[in-house]
Amino acid sequence: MTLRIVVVTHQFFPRYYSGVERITLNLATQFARMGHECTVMTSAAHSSGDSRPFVHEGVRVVPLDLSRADVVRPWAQPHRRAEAVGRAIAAEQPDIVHILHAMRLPEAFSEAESAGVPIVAHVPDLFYPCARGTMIRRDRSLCASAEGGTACASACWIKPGRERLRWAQQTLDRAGAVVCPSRATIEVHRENGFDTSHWQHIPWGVDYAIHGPRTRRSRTGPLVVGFLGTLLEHKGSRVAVEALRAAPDLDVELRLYGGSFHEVRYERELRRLATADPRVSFRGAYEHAELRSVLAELDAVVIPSLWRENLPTTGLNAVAAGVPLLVSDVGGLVELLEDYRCGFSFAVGDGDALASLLSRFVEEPELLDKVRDGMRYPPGIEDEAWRLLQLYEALR
Amino acid sequence: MKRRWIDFALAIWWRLPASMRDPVRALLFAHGGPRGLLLLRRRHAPAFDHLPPARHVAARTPGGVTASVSVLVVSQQDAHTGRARAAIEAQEGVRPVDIAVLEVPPGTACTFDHAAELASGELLVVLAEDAVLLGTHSLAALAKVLDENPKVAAASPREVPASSAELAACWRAFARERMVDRVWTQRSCVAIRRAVWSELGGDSADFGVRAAAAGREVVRAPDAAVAHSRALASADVFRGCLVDRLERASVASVAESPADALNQCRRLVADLSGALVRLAASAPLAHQLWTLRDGLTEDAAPGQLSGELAELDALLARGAEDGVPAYGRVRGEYLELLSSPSLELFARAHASVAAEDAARFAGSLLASTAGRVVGDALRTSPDVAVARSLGV
Repeated sequence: MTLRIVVVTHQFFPRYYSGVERITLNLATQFARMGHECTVMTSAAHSSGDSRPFVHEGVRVVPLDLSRADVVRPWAQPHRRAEAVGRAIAAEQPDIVHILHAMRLPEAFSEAESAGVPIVAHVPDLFYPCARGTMIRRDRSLCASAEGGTACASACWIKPGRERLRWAQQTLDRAGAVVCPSRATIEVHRENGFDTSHWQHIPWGVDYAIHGPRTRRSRTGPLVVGFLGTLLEHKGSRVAVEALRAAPDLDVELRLYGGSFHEVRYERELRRLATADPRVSFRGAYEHAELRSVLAELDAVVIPSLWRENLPTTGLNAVAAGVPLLVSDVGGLVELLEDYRCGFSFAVGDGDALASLLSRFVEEPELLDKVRDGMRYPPGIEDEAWRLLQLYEALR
Repeated sequence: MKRRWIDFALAIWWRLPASMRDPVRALLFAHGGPRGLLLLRRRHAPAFDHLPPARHVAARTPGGVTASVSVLVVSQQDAHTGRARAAIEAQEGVRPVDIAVLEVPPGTACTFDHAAELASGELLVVLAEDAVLLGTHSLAALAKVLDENPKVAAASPREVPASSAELAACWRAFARERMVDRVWTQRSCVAIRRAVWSELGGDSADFGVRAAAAGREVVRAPDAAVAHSRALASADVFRGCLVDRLERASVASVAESPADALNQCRRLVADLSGALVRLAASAPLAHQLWTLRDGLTEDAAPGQLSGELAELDALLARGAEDGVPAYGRVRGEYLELLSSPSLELFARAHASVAAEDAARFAGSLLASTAGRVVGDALRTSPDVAVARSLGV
């Protein structure tokens, strides 16, 4: 049986190209390989900038030209937004609406439900309990709990915190299935009052087509460490730069890949910090097809995130390629290490701790070799697609 | 114009420091914002209490398996079995008594006697090195089918195209999903009952046929799946379909003799080459196939053969008669395949396919048609010389 699937996401190629966008693209492509029709529905302003449907790497995309969504009150969007989303869903006549990220199209829940289409909701980050999406408070501290929404008002000036949390809990409870790639993220939601008893843990899948067999890099020069992702504050690239500043004599090269989107000021500050250090280089965004060659030149990948990462795809890709990880000890990052025995952790936000970890690897290079030998393989995109299709079939 | 103003305002907004954005955001949204005053927004979170509770679903998980299970990975290079092994280790619901890697020389198929020597379980699950069990319960689902019904001699999982699979491999997996009347065992992964194999013998190629002939059942486990893809050149597709057709009981021949069938196929290859130039650089698969159908129906001038089509033609030429190949019913068979509802359904899923990929796909489809046609002809009019020239 073939299915017509609509995947709703907050942003997509060509303007946005980070983890969730790549996962969406990979999933849609895999569904097509399996003979299912898959359309990506997203915000026009955050994809092509135009409301005309287009095809990206073989995947049909329907961008919706809507006014900016209120992420603080997702239930309180202008009616014409909901009507437009409803019309777009009806036009696709889907068997399933899979809401991968609800941020810019939260109406997809109510409109799909009104149309009688089963819903699968994904929890790709902390958007549901936190309007900021990161559970990092205004004072830059990690938010231990939304405290029923009262902390949103007191710590982040998000007044309707309680209503928002209630909306999120009820919305996810209305979905036929809820999927989350990380056990740690499920736990954060459970702690914040979400009923996670029926949630499914399905890890993100890696597209192994871009990776060859694992090979070991023969190290001759300095230890080469890469940061792959986006230069946004909560991703913590600054911690990696500060680690090198803390150890000026360390024989380590840090390569920072990725753009900064709207956080231009953060990138400028980062570049200023690294100006005098020739060991740090800014390589810009890379094409996905180049990922294999980028990883092949690295001894380790650092993920110094300051928030409770879900399950970063750069980390999964590094593990798939056999490159060890150095990660902050928060959220799904620790889960990555546990599940795939793929590296080491350091205290979140602590540049000195990362510096001492790096100096250990410089002194004992065999440490990273040991990790490489014992690394497990993360599941492939076929695995994720198959497990999701099982859910779709059960829902129909 | 409005769009431009919004973009301009947004550009300014995102240039503000976060510390300034947050209080402004709080002011803007604290009371529903300017639009809230115009009653365009609902102020409170909607309550779903009046709605019936949602039906939550979970993927099916099979119950326990009582028989002992052994898993064997058939490998030509042990270093390549990492993903397959990781997927086996991630399985739940059944604990294999042994997991072994069976190393075979390149180009050799696995024989079940090798597997039976290495493993001790009552049920043997044989996997190709590049076949990856999917989900956490595929192994249990596969074993459960055999465990529950003693009549079942072999079970195969569903095959999901790997992310590296080309279009033709995806189509083969898609088409196989719809073949419900065939007795076959998946070569990438199959579970067999050791006791039945000891009695009947056979390997991955013919065990299913032997078991069915002995009154046993060969089934598919719908809740088990394996990711696998094998890139096949058109000539290999031709041979595979030809051999497959030789086993068929009922045959509808479209050629007078094997040589006639080969002649017709050669003509079709030439004409398809001519039609390929009409393909769009990139278009939905349905559109590309439509273009080819039109080209063939309108008798496009034969084109220059190259690549896989040239290789296929060279293979066909070995058994064909001299002279100008004539058109017959083979073209009709191919056009029927291009218009088949299954292929139409498959094509709908592919929103954009490059001309090069569409050409390879069309070549592979032609090879499968040619294999079936020549196989049918050889079955009705056996010709050892032609069969040998084709390498079967």
